[in-house]
Amino acid sequence: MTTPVSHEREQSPLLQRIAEDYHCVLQHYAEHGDPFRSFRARAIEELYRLGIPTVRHEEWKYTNLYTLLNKGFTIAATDVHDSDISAITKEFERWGHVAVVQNGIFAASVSEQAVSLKEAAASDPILLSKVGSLATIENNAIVAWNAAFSSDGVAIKQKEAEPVEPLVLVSVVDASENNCMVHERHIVDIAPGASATLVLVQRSRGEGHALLNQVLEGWIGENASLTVLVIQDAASNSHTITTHEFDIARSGRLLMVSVSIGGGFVRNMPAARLSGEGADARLYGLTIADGTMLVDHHTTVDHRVPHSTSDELYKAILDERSTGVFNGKIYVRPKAQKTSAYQANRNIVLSPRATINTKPQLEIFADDVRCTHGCTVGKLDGEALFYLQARGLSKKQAEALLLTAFAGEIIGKIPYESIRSEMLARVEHLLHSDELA
Amino acid sequence: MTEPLLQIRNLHASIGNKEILRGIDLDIFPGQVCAIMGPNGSGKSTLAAVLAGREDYQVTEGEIIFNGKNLLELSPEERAREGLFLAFQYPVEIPGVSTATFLKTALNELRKHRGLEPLDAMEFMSLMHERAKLVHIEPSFFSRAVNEGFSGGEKKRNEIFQLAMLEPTLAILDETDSGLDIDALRIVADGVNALRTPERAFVVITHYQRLLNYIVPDIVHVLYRGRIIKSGAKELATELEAQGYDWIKETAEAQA
Ligand SMILES: Nc1ncnc2c1ncn2[C@@H]1O[C@H](COP(=O)(O)OP(=O)(O)OP(=O)(O)O)[C@@H](O)[C@H]1O
Ligand SMILES: [Mg+2]
Repeated sequence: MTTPVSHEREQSPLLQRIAEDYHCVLQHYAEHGDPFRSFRARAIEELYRLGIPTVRHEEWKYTNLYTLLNKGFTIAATDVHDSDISAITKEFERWGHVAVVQNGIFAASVSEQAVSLKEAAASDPILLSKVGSLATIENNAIVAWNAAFSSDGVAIKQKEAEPVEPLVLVSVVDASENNCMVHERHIVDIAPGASATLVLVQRSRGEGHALLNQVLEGWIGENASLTVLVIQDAASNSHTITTHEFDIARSGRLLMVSVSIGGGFVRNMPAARLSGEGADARLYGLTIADGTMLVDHHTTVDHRVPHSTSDELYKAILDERSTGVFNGKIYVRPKAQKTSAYQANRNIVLSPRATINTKPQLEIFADDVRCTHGCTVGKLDGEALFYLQARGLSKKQAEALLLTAFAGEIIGKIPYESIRSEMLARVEHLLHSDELA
Repeated sequence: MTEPLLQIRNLHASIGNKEILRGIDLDIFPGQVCAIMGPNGSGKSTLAAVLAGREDYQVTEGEIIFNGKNLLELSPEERAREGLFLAFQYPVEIPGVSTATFLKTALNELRKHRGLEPLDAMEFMSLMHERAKLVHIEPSFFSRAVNEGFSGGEKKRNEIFQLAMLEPTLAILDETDSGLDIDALRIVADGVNALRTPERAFVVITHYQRLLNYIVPDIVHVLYRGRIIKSGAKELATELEAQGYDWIKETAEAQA
């Protein structure tokens, strides 16, 4: 048993636990070859310095990590016992080529574009230098926590200009023995002129609580395009924290659609850095929550150069005691003239016990920009409900139809017909509009 | 003598503490076209809304019997299923809901209530095509969101299209003629006339006699300050067009 070193003594029980975990995994990683060793050491120091954010932290005001972490999570046993991934592969192959990461370790990939990050980084110093260069550990406890503990993930390199089948990246967390936490890290590199689609999903095993802390860094080259679909539909004992950061070069395009209709605690932190003229980022999200589910989207769009565009639309339907959080940061840097940035957050609150906290956060330092934002929180449109009822629809049917239309706007952004219609059917089922005559 | 389809007795309705309908008595018989005219703000749309079951208005006195049922006990959807239809003065835009989806759901609910099998997609589509012709609606409208981005006239025609699809026994048209150009007025009127049957009654709310040249009423009522102050044959509309409302207002006020 390793004793924690001196400066950790006054730390919180949680940090003490993390320190213990760290010493365990460090040994284990060292035995198996660890390309991230020095990065890891800096990350854990930063994590000790920052601590795990409480609700006093501005970025975590409405999202209490401790209610989740107090369940007590064991860092994933890095060896996976049950390595039967054929069922997982089967479940998702209808969407594209499947790659599976189990407990943070690359397990299998049908696509040669997706390989083990650890293995690739061990022999590729350029790739290694990219790790942590976009989603930096400084002042970010979640990313630092990930950097200290993650040992593997997927490296995706897309060179083809031809659009290829989507790559479905399935993150499996094994919580069959304990509540289990997994740190996972991915690198995506889309070459100039190339295009790719990534579908991110999560599955857990067992009855315990499963927590995934996923960091993904992506570079979208000149004239390249990347579509990312984040399908968060896991069971309520699955929890997710995502940090998905992208750098978009000249005339590059990012389309990100998140569908958060499952899971217990979901915190997404997508960020798009528009660093080339003509770069375009579109971030869309749909939340449908009930029970005590929490879905938090903290988005960042950073316009760094002139003539870049962004569009954000996040919608939520909140029922029962669920919580929705939206925080949308838009930075327009001094040189970023002619920026066009649009942001909207629309929420329908169905129950008096559901809550939504929404906050646009615009920091604009250029003067010649078009920047609009807006948020709404409300119930369904009473006029529309009455109109539908006056035609013979029951109140329930009318509500289901209106809610489905509300949600359908985001589902409609999914550019693949098969995934789109499947997600629409699931949303209709959730909102009971599939029972309409 | 046939039973009235709709009987309104001493109907009083208010919004907040403002009384808008102040004792309305009205019988409507199967097959009849009944015109309701009256100055702005007299309560015509309120009467239509109360009939359709809008909850913003409180009925404080009186009763309404429709098809032998106490209408005031029914929810808006139950009234629709019983055969009541309101063509709105201001049709509502419903983004994201296609006309086809909406009408299919509505029609099949009505059919269920009438003990009929739901129409399948094919049957429904061909019915839509057939009825759309009646008011010159292009099939491209079926997949568009209900009323969204429709011109004023298109919205009004869409109301009559829905009427044609849902085949009510009592149709209330609230200023369906307003905002229509001369050709569209003709189209709408022809559509309504084509939909007349011995069972189906129409209540036509309008400010203009012009519509009543096309849809000829059996009886004309004048509503003023929440009461029917005059009733007459179709010539009454012509008289009002020529002379305005002042002369009957004066008589009504003298009597009050
Ligand atoms: N929701 C409401 N809140 C407050 N007042 C209302 C409301 N609805 C109607 N009223 C009032 O009731 C009166 C009657 O309105 P109504 O719309 O029924 O008139 P109308 O005869 O249809 O008029 P128009 O010919 O202009 O369509 C008006 O004074 C109107 O301002
Ligand atoms: Mg009116």
